[in-house]
Amino acid sequence: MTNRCAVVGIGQTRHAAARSDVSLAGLVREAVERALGDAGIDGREIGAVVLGKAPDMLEGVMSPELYLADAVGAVGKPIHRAYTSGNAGGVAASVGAGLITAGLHARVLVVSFEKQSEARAAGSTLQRVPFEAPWHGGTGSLFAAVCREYISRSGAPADIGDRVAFKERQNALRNPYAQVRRADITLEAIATSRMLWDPIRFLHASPSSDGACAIVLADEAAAARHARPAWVHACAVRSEPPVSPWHDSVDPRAGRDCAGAVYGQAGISNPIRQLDVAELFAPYSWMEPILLENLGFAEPGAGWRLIEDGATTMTGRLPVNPSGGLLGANPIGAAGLVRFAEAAMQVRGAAGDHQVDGARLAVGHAAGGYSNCVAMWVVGSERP
Amino acid sequence: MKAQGAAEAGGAPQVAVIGFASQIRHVSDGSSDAELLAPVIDRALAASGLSRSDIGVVCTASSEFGSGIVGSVMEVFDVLPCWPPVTHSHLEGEGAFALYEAWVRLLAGEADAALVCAYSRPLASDLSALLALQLDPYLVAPLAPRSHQLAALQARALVDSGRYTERDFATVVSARRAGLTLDAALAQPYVASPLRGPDCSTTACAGTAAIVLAADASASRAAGRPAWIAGMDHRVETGAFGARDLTRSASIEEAGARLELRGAEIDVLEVHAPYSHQELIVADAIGGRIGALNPSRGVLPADPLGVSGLIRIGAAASAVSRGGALRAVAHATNGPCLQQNLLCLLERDRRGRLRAGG
Repeated sequence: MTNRCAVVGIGQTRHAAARSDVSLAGLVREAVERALGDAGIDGREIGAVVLGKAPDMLEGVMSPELYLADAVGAVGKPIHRAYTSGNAGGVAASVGAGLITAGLHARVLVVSFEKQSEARAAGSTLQRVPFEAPWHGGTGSLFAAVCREYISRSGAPADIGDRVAFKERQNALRNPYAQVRRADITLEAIATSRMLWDPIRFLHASPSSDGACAIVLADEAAAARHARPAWVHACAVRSEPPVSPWHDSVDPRAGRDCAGAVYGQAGISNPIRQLDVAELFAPYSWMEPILLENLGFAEPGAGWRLIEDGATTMTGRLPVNPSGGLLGANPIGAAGLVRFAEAAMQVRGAAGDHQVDGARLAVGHAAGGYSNCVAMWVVGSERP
Repeated sequence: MKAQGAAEAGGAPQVAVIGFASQIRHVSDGSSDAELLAPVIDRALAASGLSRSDIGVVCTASSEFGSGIVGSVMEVFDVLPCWPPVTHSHLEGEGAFALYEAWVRLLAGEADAALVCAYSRPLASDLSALLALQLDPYLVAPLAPRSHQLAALQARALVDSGRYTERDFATVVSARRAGLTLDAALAQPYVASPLRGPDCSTTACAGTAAIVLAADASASRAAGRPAWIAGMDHRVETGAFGARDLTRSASIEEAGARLELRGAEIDVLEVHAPYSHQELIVADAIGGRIGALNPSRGVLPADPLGVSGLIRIGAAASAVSRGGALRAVAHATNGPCLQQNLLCLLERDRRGRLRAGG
């Protein structure tokens, strides 16, 4: 006896490299007020709050749900912290959906944030055991090794990373919330931008961002009061050990299984044909062909062909990241929830200038750690 | 791995604690988090009668500030039953909240059985100072109040209310700390008046705990007697101390009311009170007719950050499954001065789940 769940309100902040105009609480509050406003409800109608946030050390606030309880309107209510890794926003959405599905609450607010300007994310995520020598590689160095291995396996042409970045950056121009919006962007500018970690160039990479996102989830009875709910057809989280004989960093089974689980729940047998849009968590452009294969949109080794064929553009077979994705803004802890929220915006027909025409079924994806922690959901305009 | 229990039970699924193990070490031997966790997971699974492959949900908790390692969960994956990949979630904070999430996921039908683990290996030399990082990062944390000092504000307010005296605090201390008489406790110097050293829990220790949860059908196949979770609720209060009545716990009163605990028979109550006076506040806020209070001795003698609350749930479940209790309640807390609280109601008989949400 489980309950259906729908997204009935969505809000996100203006993402920026430094939102020095607001505190952590102010940043989170901005997203919460927009989500409640979008849902047309009062905060008092929220039964519980889930707060997704990447490692506490990124901002140096321990258990920030305690300090932020007031800002998110959780006082007197349950507030649950979700973290896991970079997939925090996706895990938070899955906990929120679980609270609805289990029949514990009628309306749940899910909030995620990151304020990297008050943090040192690139360094602190690589900090290992105390007293060990520091490894000043930057987060991108981990992904670069994965991308090189992918190129070696698939024979992808050298310009695939440029093409993805060009597509994402053009899409970001249509998204008013995106942080990086370069109207003068050209393929050549991307291809000649500084090499950071071969094959990842500067304009292949996501920025450091301050930002927050909030969504209101409702059960079927509560959703009846709202126009255009996005119904949750499937939601799953999968993790595997990051270092093991079985872990394939290019094609991790956690991603494969997570995709298999949500497609199974949603009755999807041919994802590229049945899904209308995908919002994928790709912090570097080269990760997009890798994810297209890992999540079942292309056969192994063929993900880059979808990009070369233009299948992932706004008018292609499967528009990927119409919002501009993480290259538009990457508030780490919130970035996963933004993907989930953008998928819901698409099937509600509420994505504005980056709306994919006629989108009815969409997938949102979040990943973290060494691509070993994955969360996904499938949302649709029709009730499942 | 899809739950079939709901259909068999003819209604909402119910979840039980079917395995528990914990370990606390006062002296570090250099073991890693994974090395500390592995035998505890094995013992909890052995007690449950389930195998690693039965587990479909894994929820873990730790404090990265305590251990000084960002992304510390990546280093314990080796010992978690996560291959093939399962639903896994990690949170920074008290392990009892990880258990809450696992409970929700089982109720939502994500799997039949879950493993909940918490681990804490504090390398921080001064936890009481570190906990200031839980406070408002702009206005309060820079003042660096120690957690002992904040707890003392609460204890002072409790004394001023006339409800309790320092002697009552010492009574709690002598009941929880072996070999310390009431008079000896009262003779100790203040750490932060009115709190003395023994009033504050001993945090210099490494702890690990693991609990196995199972939904209906799987729980019925458990090796021992299941401790059914009749309900669970948690609430948070404002982060502004000045806006709270520190002498009572509105969040526990609310959670307890939803679990219908006021005036109810409670055979065993396990309280997560890092300070002696907080045990009094928690018990008052629950307001049940309590048989045994903290028969495990609670957390004053040993309080591994982020693990203590989960151990309370395990101890309460053990009281039901092995100790003959019909109803036991476990309490867990997070944050300064009991800001956030969780109550878990465990019963010997399966009677359906209370709808404690809202």
